Amino acid sequence: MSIFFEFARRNLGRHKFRSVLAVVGIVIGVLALTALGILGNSIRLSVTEQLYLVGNELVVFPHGEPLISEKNFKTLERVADAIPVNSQADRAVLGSETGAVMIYGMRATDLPKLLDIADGQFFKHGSLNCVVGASLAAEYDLRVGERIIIREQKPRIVGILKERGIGFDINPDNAIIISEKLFSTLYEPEGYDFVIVRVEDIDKVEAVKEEIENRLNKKEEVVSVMEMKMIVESLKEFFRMVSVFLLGIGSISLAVAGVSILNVMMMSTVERTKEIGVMRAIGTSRRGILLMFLYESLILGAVGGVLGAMLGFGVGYLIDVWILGKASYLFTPSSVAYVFVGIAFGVGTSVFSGLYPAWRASRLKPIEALRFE
Amino acid sequence: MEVVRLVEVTKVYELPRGSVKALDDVSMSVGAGDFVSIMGPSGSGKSTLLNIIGCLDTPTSGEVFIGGARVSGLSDDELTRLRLERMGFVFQHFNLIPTLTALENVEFPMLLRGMREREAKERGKQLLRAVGLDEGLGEHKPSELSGGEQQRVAIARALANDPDIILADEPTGNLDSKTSKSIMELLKMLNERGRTIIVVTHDPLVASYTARTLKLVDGRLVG
Ligand SMILES: Nc1ncnc2c1ncn2[C@@H]1O[C@H](COP(=O)(O)OP(=O)(O)OP(=O)(O)O)[C@@H](O)[C@H]1O
Ligand SMILES: [Mg+2]
Repeated sequence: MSIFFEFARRNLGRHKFRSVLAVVGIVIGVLALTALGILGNSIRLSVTEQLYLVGNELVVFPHGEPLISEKNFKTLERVADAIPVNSQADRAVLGSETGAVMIYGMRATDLPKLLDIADGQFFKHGSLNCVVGASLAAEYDLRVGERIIIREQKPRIVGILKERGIGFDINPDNAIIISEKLFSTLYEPEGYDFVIVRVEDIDKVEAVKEEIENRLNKKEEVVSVMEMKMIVESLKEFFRMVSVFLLGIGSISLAVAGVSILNVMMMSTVERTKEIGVMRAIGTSRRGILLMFLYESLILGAVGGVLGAMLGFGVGYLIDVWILGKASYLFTPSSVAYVFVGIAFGVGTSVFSGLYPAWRASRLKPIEALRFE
Repeated sequence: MEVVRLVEVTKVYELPRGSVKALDDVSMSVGAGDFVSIMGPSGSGKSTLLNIIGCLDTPTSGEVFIGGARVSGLSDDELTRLRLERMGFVFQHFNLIPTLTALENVEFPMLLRGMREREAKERGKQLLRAVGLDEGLGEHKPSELSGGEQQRVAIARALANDPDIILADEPTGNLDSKTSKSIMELLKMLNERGRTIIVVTHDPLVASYTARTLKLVDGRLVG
C-alpha cells in the first residue's frame, strides 16, 4: 500500500537531523564494506594475475643431496611426463650491459610444454642458441638474432618468450633459457636441480605424488615433492580469508549502523505511540503499522546503501590507485559486484534492524496506545 | 433498528493494588438515528463504556452487539475492519495525524478502505465543506488550524466511510464555550440528517443538545 510508504517518507522528514544521522551510519558501514570488498578483490586479482599457477604440476626437488640423479630422473619419467630443469644464476653480457641473470637449462622438446613464444622460435635439440624472457628482453632491449655472452659462450637469441608471471617451478620472464647441452658445457652439472612433473588428470595429482614418493623415497628421503595444486588451493584459501577479514571489518561498521537504526526506530515507535493508537482506532490494521515502520527503515537503508556504495566505489578507486598503483581491477565484474553487495547489506541491515520496532509498534493495543501521553 | 446493544457488560481492571470495576453490569441499547449523551463524574467509566461500544476495548464479561452481530470472538483484523467501516471516532484532543493535511486526514480512512485516490479527494473536500471548514484550509496541517477547526476536520474524518455510529469522547473538552456550541450544532445537524451519535461529556449544556442522556455512577447506569 503506497499510503504507508508516503507516511514513512513524511515521518522521516519530521526528524530530519535524526534521519540524516541514521543514514550517515549506514553510509559509513556500506562504504567500508564496499571499499574493503573491492580492495580484497583487487589484491586477489593483482596477485593471481602476477602468478603463474597450474594445478596439475608437481615440482620434485632433491632432498639431502644437491641434485636429482639421472637414475632417479629415469624413475620419474616412468611415472609421468617429467621435465628436467637445471638452473644457475650467472653474469651475462646483454646488449651493451652486463647483468646478473637466471639461466635455465632445458630440453628443446620440453619448451613448448611450459612456454609460449612471442617473437622468433624455440631452439632445436642440442642447439647452442637461447631464448630469453619477456621482461629481460624489454629491460636490456634484446632482439631476436642478437648474441649474448655467458662466460666464453656466445649463444644467439632465436626467440623471445611471452610473459608468464611468477611461478613455483620456473620464472622465465627474467631468465635466459638454453639447451641441456649448452648448460652442460657451461656448468657440467651431475644431475638436475629439479624436475617438473605434469599430470594429465588433475584428480590424479595426489596419486602420482604418492607413487613418486613410494618409488624414490623408499629407503631414505631423496626427493621432496611440491604440489602446485596445494599451493593453488592454499592461495585461494588465503585470499578467501583476506576477503572475509576485510568484509568482517566492513560488517562491524554496518552492525553499528544497524544498532543506530534500531535505536532511532525504537525512539519513533515510543514517541508516536499515541499516533499509532489513533491510526489503529480509525481502522489501520496491524499490517499497515508494520509496513509503515518497515518502509521507514527501508528508505533509510536504501538511501544510505546507495550513497555508501557509490562512495565506497570511489574510495575503492583511491585505495586501488594508492596501494596497487592502478585502477584496472575496479571495473571487473567481481569488484563491481561489491557495489551491489554493499547496497544489499545496507538495505538488509536497516530493514532487519527495523523489524523488531515495527513489529512492536504493530502489536500495540489500540486502546492503550491511545491513552499514552 | 438497533445499532448498539450491550448485555450485562462488566469491565474489571486488574491492578497491583486490587481490581477496579470500571463498568458494572451495564445493559443498554442505542437505536439508529439516536443522539445519546453519557454523563457522570470523573472516573465513573464513561470512556471505558464508549471504547467498548467502539470495539477498541473488550469487556471482561457480557456481550456487545453491533448492528445485531456479536463482537466477542472477533480477531484483531476483524475488529479493525469493523471500526474502519462502521465507527467514526471523535476525540477530546482531536487526534489528527500531524504529517497529513486536513484533507488527507479525511481521505485516509477512505484510502484504507481501498477507495481510489481521486474519489477520496472529491469526497474529502465535500465532507470538509459539510462540516463547515473554510475552503482553503484543506491544505493546512493540523498544527496550522485552531482547535475548533481541527475538531471539524476530525468530524469529517469520522464521517469518511459513512459509519453506522459516531462516537465522541468529550468532543468539546478542549474548546471554549462558543466553539463548543458550534461543534454541538454541527453534531445536532448530522443527527437530524440521520446519524447515530453517542457523546461522552461532563457538560450539561452539551448533554442538552442530545435526545437522551445516560448517567453513569461508579460504573453503573442510573436512572
Ligand atoms: N487502563 C486502565 N487501567 C486501570 N484502570 C483503568 C484503566 N482505564 C480506566 N481505568 C479506571 O477505570 C475507571 C473508569 O475510567 P474511565 O476512563 O472510563 O472514566 P471516565 O468516566 O471516562 O473519567 P473522566 O471523566 O475523568 O474521563 C477509573 O477508575 C479508572 O481509573
Ligand atoms: Mg474519560
